[in-house]
Amino acid sequence: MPLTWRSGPWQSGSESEVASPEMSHPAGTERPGDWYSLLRVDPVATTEQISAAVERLSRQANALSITAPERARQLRDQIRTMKRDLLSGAEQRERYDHQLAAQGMNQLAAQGTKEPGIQAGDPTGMPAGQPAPVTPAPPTASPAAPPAPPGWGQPPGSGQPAAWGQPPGWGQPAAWGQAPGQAGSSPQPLSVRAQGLMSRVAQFLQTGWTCSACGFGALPTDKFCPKCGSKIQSGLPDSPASHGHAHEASASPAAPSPAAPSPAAPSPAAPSPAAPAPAHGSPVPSGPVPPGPGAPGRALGAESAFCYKCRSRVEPGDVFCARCGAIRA
Amino acid sequence: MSEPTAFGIDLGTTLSVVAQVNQAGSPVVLPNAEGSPTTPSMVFFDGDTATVGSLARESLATQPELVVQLVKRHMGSPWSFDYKGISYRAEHVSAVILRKLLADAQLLAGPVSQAAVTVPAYFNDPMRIATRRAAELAGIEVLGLLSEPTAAALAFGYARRPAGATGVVVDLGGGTFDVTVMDYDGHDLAVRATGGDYYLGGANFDKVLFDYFVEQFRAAHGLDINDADSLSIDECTQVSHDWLLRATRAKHDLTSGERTTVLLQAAGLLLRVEVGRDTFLARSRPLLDEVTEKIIDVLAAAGVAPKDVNFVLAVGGSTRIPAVRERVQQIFGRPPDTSVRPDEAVALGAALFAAQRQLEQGSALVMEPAARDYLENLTVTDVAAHTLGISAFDASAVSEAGAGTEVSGGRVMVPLLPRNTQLPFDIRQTFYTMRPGEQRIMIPILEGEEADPELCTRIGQVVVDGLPACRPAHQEVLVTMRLDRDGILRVGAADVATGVAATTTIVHAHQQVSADAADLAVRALAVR
Repeated sequence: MPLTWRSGPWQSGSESEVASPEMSHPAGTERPGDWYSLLRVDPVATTEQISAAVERLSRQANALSITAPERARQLRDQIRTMKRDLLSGAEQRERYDHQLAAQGMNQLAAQGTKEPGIQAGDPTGMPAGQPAPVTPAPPTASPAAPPAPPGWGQPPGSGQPAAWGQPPGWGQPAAWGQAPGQAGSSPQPLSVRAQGLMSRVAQFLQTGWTCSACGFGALPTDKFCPKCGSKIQSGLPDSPASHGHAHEASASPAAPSPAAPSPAAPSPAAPSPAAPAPAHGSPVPSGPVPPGPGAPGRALGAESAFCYKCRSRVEPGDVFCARCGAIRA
Repeated sequence: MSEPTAFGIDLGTTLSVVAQVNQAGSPVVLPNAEGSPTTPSMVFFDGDTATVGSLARESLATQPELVVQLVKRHMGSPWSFDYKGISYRAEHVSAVILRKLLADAQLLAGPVSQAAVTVPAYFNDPMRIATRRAAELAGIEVLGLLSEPTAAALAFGYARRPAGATGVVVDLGGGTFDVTVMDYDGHDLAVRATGGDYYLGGANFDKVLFDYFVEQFRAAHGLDINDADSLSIDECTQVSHDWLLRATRAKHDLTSGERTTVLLQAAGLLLRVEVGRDTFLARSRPLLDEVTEKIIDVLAAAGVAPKDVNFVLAVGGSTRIPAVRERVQQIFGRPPDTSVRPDEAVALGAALFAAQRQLEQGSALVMEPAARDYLENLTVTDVAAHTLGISAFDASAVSEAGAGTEVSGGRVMVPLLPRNTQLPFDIRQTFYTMRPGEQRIMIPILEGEEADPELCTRIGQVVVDGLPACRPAHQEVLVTMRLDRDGILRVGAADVATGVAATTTIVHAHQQVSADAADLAVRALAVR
């Protein structure tokens, strides 16, 4: 039986303390659950950015109360819940982020067993009508996916090698969303490091971005690689001048990147044959990326925190702040 | 230094008007800076600037989420508009509107420091307090709050001077509806009964047409603009407000013509919709029935038959709708009097009321002696629009349960100030404590017509605290209630044995925040 966030062993607090997404997001509402996409902010947005976006949505609910009262009511319910999830303290937001990541991975797993690629508008959390980033196929669907190096992508305690970029349990659809090492066994608590990894992997699978220096999966909004601290030239894939987080795209998906010393090294997101060919400037990595020393798993097992310099959120295991590049204190 | 002038402000749900009494003693409307006698009661928040009026209304089509409209419907409620981290309540937004009205009035009439402000007759106590607070935030000393129908009757009576007449004012504005029955006898204007609905007005008629548009568009293109799967929130907000503006224009067209055409656009699709007055009438029938029902209720409360009514005044822009006039005519058997302009009557009456209050205070108003004489002798008597009382345990329930025991049920609304009581009004009534050793007595103040307190609105409470511990049960508590002539309620309670007393002016919990961030922001905003 798939493990849901509700019964997930990493879920802190009792069930009564945390409302389920089903409870929080009334049927028929837009993209239930993913407040970030509804608010049109990044998952790493600061509290101030989220507050401003919530405020805007609240004004829209006000305006809609005159013309579409039912929709306004639904929106107000959502705003109430998102305030609780995102604006009532770092701990609550972290909890929500984990729930969202788990949800996203469940959805991706369901997709991954059926389709080689994920289409725009699919339940990846992207709002309807907004172009979704080109996402690499799940590695299991890619025959080109190289074997994983030891430790990378493996759940703690799992002796089985996993493919590059796979979240824990990848390749075992029935176990999607489970805590690492849990497939077919009794639930085990997930380490903070693994939580951070899962969250990052889930985000990576939605975006397909990697650091050109170390191959670390990152987000389009990251200005610095959270693992090696390398500066990212441009954050957004649509920008014509963008080099993105990834290597510069080339016509051949197999072309080695200048920053990839080992062509044999596995790519975290090698595009499957079925995946759309990356356009120039696409964030889809064009060649293998070395995991580098320590691999893309987190070196630090500390809890999620905020950057001492810019107050941005720093994910568990991040060494550098993705926004300002400050080393984690 | 300029001479004192009497100003009256009709702070309407959709349109606001300022009037003054000139030196001839005649009330006149002051046009705004754009030259219009009416200013749309809408505010467009744009950075550190708040734009009020027609410019704000135009912004509805492009940035509806930054425009606040129909704010009067939220007076005295916890509603707020959040902008740049500040939560503006209805009184704050109204204060911004008032600032614009004052600034424009000052261009023509010099400094405005005092004014009478009108409120719907059916406004309850917290709503009146919020209105007064809005005026204070805008820097106005409020000479008095006057019910809108009473103001309209004042303007009408000032021009006609009816004697021994019973009149009915039907005030269907942009967002609220009031009906008032009054006696007019020379200098005395006395309200007999009032009633209404603060969620019924022209905006409801606009919505009727808007809903028709939505239906037509869905039928033609299979697209429901209100559906979350059809349009995003941004698109829905923008399209729906554009259509609502078109609905308002169509309503105006249908007031003078039989048919109108509206061009609707959404999601790249176009539709041309023809609306006839018959369609509008058919769809407005439930609203018209509500209007009829309220009028009949108030006539019954006043003990007046329609045939005994000497004049029927139709005020408020929505009384221009032919179907509304027809309904009024059906009820009273005569067409409503529209000799006073429906949009301006209330403000004109408010200016007269302000002049009367200023003369009462000994102000040296300059005006024609005849007008001065009339206003000095004018008396205006209003009524309470709602029954006011307190929640107490029913004595029979207490005796059944036994004295001093815990009674969970048995609470009743004890009316102290019945609806349509003429103001000002005082009442004192004795109640008794239930349990021995009560050191704190909490008296909930209710508003409503039901015996069950749960069905009434709790508008506040009085707490008598610090009583000695060793008191037996059945101690006398004297409750006093006073509703002043502006409709502001003051409630007091005193423990007779100890003399410990408490009083309160009813202010809702969310209104108790004094000088909050929004207050400061309202003063800091540049208003244009």
